[in-house]
Amino acid sequence: MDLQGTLAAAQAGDQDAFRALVEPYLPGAYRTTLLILLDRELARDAVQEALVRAYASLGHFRTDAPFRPWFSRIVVNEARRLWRRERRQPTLLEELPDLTSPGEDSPEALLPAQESRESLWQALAELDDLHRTVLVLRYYQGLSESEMAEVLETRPGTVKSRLHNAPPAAPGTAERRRCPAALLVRQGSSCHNREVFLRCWKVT
Amino acid sequence: MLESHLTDELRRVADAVPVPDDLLPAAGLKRAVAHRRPWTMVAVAAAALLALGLSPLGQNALAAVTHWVMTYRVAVNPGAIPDPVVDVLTIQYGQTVEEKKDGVREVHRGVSVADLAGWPLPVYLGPDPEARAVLTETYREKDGTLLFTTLTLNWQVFMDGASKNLSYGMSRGWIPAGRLEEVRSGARPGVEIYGVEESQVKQQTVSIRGHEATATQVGPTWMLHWWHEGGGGHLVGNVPLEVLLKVAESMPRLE
Repeated sequence: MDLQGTLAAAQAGDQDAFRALVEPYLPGAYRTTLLILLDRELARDAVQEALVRAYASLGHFRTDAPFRPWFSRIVVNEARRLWRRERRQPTLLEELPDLTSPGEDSPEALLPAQESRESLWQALAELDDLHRTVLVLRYYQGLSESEMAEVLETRPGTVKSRLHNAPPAAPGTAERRRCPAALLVRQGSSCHNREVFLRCWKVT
Repeated sequence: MLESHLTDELRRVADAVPVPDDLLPAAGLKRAVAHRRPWTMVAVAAAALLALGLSPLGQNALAAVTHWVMTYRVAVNPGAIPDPVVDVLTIQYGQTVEEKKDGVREVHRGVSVADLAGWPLPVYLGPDPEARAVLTETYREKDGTLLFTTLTLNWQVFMDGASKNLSYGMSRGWIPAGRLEEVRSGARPGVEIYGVEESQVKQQTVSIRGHEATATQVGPTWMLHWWHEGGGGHLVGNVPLEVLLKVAESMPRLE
């Protein structure tokens, strides 16, 4: 069955067709929500809920439109909704894999050290959901600004602003924490060696 | 070049986490979708009334509930609700603050379930002992001045399947700046619409079973708001005012 046929069957209520339709996108959907929510259980809840929503509203889906952005929009919206509702302490930060392994600690690799990585993840966790979502869509999914705008149902200019501007700092918050990860990266990109780069990422 | 390291880092961490194999329930989608629909619960309640042999009352209840649900379906259809509400609908616990432009802060906070006393919704939650409802208020402020407030009612249904913690928005209301405390104490608020020109908003006072209410129209959307001592409610829908009024009048409880 071709894509249009699968879509038509899914819209008619065929659960197997719906499964066939969404299954290729599930790993990406789960990992995207994982990065937005920074919690495995919440990510699973978000994807499950997104699937229910997608199934329920598939009848409204325009068959001449691409399916992936439509599904991504539902997934991302659900992740953000869940983040706002739950506001849990991110658990993913506690289980970051230790990346110290042969070949990865060479100066040329430019990979930040574990401490610096934790700073990065901490900075990500401190972002509001929209800033973090933008970063995830840009740097994990590799979407363009216009593609991100489509998923987030906003204007490309808004996405650009979120991508490059830091959110206002809460009172008493260290300057470092104002910076979204993109700023940290951009800051780091102006550095010419690993030490300076690491200093950019670390608490000063 | 270092931006690619952020990509690498995100992918390294995310891709190391195994994808659960139960994301898509084997046979639970239809059931999950059915549970999402509040009219399913309402229908169960109405059917229970009929089954109890309360025929006239049951039929009245069924008619009332059906009528209310028809409009409710319109109200919860995201396509029928202006954008701001979609975000507001499902924020429930704790407090979050969003920084908007020009120093405007948007605060979302959950309100105690006890504050729901008098809202009509719990009547419909009877069939599901695990269901619960929460009230959320969202307000925007600038320099300590309240700009607008939105009240939103949500409820959750806990399911034994893969999908759980489902939540639904019911309604919303705009309350003039500075009136939050009055609302909490049961005073009847006025209505203020945020985000549209004043000329686009039409308001009139209507009566629902003798209770005064405010009907507000913005484009095709009508909103009914009422607040009496001890409670109140809101109905929203892209339907004619007459339909909303009939729905409100058929509600078992107004306050």
